[in-house]
Amino acid sequence: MSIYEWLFNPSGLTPHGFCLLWAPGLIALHAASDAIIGLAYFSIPLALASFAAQRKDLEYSWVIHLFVAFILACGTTHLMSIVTLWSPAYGIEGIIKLITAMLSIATAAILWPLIPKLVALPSANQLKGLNFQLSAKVEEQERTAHLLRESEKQVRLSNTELERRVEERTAELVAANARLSQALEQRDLLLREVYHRVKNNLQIIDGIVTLQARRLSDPEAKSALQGLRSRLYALGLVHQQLMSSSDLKTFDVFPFLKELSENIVQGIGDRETKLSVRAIPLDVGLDFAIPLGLLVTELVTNSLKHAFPDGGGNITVALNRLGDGAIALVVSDNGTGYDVPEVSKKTVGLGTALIDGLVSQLKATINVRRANGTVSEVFFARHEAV
Amino acid sequence: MTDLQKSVLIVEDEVVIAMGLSVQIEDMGLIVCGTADSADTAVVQASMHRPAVVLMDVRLRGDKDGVDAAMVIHQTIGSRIIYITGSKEQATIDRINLDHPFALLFKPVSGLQLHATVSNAIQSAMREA
Repeated sequence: MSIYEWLFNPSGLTPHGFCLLWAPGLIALHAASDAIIGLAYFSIPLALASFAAQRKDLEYSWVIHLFVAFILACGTTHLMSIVTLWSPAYGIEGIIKLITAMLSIATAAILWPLIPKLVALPSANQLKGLNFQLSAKVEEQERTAHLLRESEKQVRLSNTELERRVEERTAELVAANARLSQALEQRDLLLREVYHRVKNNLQIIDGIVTLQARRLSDPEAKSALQGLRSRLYALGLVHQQLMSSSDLKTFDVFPFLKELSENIVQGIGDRETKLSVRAIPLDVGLDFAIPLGLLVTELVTNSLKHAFPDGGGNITVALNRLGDGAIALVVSDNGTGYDVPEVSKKTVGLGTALIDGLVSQLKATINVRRANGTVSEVFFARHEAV
Repeated sequence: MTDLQKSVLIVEDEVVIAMGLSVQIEDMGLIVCGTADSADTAVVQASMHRPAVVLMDVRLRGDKDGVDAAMVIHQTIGSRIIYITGSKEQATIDRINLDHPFALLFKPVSGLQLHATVSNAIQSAMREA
């Protein structure tokens, strides 16, 4: 028996209708029911397949396809039942049933373990709820973003305001600075004017003294007035130095000492007297320079008057810094030497009294000694200088 | 300009200072031909007396200063100009140097300084004369 005959017409077997004795009612009932079931079993999987095709996002869509295959197979077994009513093709019917059996058992076997996973899938309602929550969240975020934008706007605004205020304040400061510089300039101008006036007044006094001296015949009186002139000169010179100083408060001591000493030596001394002036670089102010200038005037005048009875000689004026930071003024000559009267005595001259007073004003100490002439040393602390 | 007189004109707006200077000049054996307290009178006095030397203050009465007067006197008469100024400011010194000063003395001026400078100026002027 060939395989074809085994499939479609096994010999010795009768069609199924024979078992039903070809009763027309039964044949029609079986054939019609199987046809309707078969058609329905063909329609259902097609619908499922169409659904699966359209919903591409479905999870476990392969299960649907398994169902499609299983139901299609079931439908085919029913159509085969119609065929076997009239034809004994039990071979092929059995094979189709075998396929159906395998598909159905596979589906049944796979479905049970799949249940918990399918249950775990979110339902439409759950998704709706989630969607609602999500929308709420999105809305909230939009509100927050809006607030953020608002506050950003505020920040920008206050930033602008801040910048404006800074600009305003800067402008105010610049203006205040300008006013201050102007005031400072005014002050400098005024100070210069004051120094100028002081100097001019001293020059006027000097003029009067000069005129007065000319009318005197007493040599002692004339000499006293000459002494007064050299003291006036010291005061005037301090103001002259101040006027040309950059800060209008202090000036370097060396040019001052040099000019001052030269004036005295040229004014009283003869041409044989040699003067040398040395000084450390030191900025001095009015309060120090005036007593210092007067002191130098007295000491140099003393040397000129007493040291060289025969004319000629050397005078040295020096301002030195000592090891401990203190400063020493040294006025020395190489003359015959002279007695410095004790200040305590009533009979001292004006020069000596002035020297004593000036030394005490400067909080200094004085030491006069003989050393190849006369050496007068005045020591003061550094902080007294400026 | 060969007829300069051996005399000194003093231009100074402070009378006492002018008097003091006069005495010192006279003590040198020189003649003070006059004193002026403004730039204009200085120019008038200078053309009247033709002094060899002019002692010139910078600040004077009136709008013009000593430099104005000195420039005119230097050009028309040829006197030696000795400036005596109270100011050591650079602006003033620059202005003085616009002219051709014979010398520049700063107040306070010592007697000997004045003596030496005036002597030199007189000698310079007389040599030319």
